[in-house]
Amino acid sequence: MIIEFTLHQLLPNVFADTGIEKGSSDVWQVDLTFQRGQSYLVEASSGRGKTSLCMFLYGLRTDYSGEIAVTTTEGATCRLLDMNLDELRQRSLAMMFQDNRLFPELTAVENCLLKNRLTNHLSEQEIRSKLMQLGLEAKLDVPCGLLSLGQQQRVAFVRMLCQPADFYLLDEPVSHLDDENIRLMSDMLQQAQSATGAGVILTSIGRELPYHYDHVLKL
Amino acid sequence: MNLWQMLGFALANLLGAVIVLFGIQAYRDLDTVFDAEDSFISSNYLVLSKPVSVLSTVTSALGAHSGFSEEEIHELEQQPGVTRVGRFQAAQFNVYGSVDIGGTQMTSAMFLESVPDEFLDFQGDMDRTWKATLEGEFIPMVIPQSYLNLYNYGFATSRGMPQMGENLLSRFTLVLTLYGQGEVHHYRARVVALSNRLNTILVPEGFLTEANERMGRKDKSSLPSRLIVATQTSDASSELLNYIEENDYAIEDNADEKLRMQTFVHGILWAVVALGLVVSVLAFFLLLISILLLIEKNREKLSTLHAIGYELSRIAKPYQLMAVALDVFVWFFAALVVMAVYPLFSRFLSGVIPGFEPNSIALIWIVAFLFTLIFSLLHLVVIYRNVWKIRSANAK
Repeated sequence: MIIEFTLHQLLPNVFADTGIEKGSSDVWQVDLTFQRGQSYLVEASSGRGKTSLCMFLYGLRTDYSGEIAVTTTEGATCRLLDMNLDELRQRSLAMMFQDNRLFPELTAVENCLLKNRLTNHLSEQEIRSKLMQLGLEAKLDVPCGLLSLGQQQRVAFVRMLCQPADFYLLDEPVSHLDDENIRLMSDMLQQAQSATGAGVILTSIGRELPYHYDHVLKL
Repeated sequence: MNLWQMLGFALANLLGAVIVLFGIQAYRDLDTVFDAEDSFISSNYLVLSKPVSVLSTVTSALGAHSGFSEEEIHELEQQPGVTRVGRFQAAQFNVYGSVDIGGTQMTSAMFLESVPDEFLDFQGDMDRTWKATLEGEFIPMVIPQSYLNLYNYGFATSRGMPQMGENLLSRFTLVLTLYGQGEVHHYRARVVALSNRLNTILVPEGFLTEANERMGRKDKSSLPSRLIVATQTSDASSELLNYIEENDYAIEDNADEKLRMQTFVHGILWAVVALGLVVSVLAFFLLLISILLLIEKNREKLSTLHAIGYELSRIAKPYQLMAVALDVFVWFFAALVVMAVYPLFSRFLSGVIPGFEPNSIALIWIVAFLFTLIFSLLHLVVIYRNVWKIRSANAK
């Protein structure tokens, strides 16, 4: 189980030439720790590297300087990239991608089941129920390619919940949602965090999920 | 990949695989024909003689010795690769043989020779088969295969007489009349084996020695005119061949022609196997490219699967299974096809090549298994390496 992420002087390669003005970011080129059980809102305008940060923490991208270390419950600290990332993505790190990354030919339920097959975290009934809670009862068995962006965002959110997690990483999760759905999503995330004691790291470009944030970081 | 592509690949690969398996089995069977030894004589030997020249004809007529001297034999025994040297012994008395075939009585002057028994390797009980005494009534003989051919394709055909095989021949009894030094002996003789290599009529050595002592011309040279040389390997060493050449000895065998024919047949069979391999390898790449294109087409989906937590090995598995299943199917089916078709071919060969004995067809299964293993392993590795690239696709 991951209990914290520690970022040491992390900087995306894309900023290597221009650099980051000292003190202008709470995340880049500083030493920072994300702790399990805490909620973090990472705010930034476009192009500051919100998605990059999520991808770095999720281990999908490595185009950065500095280091990301992970501390586990056993007390061991090691580089994130030295860990079994596939296993982390099934047991520790749940991610909601900015572009949702759904399979357009699969239905809402099938997309969630595809993830759940790896983890066996929820039953199909629970998945259907969560999708319905987010107002998708009429869209459960519709291919995701036919859903609106907002509906797809809700499906991607439920898929993220289809696994046990130490950290939920949400990359601009509410950019296409109305207030009512944002509130519903916020409640469900709160529920999941309370149940698992996970940490939440959420990026936002302005429209943010109303939530109890322990830390608000400027990127 | 659609069904037609898959079928096209499978058929192309099947064709190649059948050619490869068929060629290898044919190569093995025909090689056995070339390497076949006479059934009665131990393998790895050469028969040496001294070539006949005008000079030797004159000198031998004058009573000079034209055979191999003891010194020459001793020197030959010391050559690398030579394990034993045996002396041919010729009958030094008169021999007439007569046989009754289909009511026709044939009588002819004959000659007899012998080699030491240890060079012979009879199937069954040699002590019982290869034995004769001067006082006895029966003599076993080995005659050249060419004699039977001469009878079958020359004499029998022209006289309208029945042809005979080796089995039938062994039932015929020949009456041998031996005389010399005032003694006359009559024997019943029977052919116990045929030889493709020795152009002589062999009888047991003990018998011939005894007969020579009793009936042989005392003035006749006792030096052997021919030697049988056992070598360590079936192909004589180059040192030994050089030695033979330096001493102007002649090797009594159609080894050169046989070698040329063997090289020719080997060449053709290698070409067939190579053709099969080319077809198989092309089909192998065809399948590989089809699967890699499929992976390329689905790259975005596969990278999403990886992003949501699927291991690369799990992502690669369906593609690997498809490739391995096709490899297994193709080579298994090819082996079945060859199992069904090859016996027809070997039956044809048995008809045109005397002594052709097909080998066990088990080799086909072993070769098919090995090719399945090699092709499958290559497919597994290349597909996995390609799926592995998804990691970098995700990093973009």
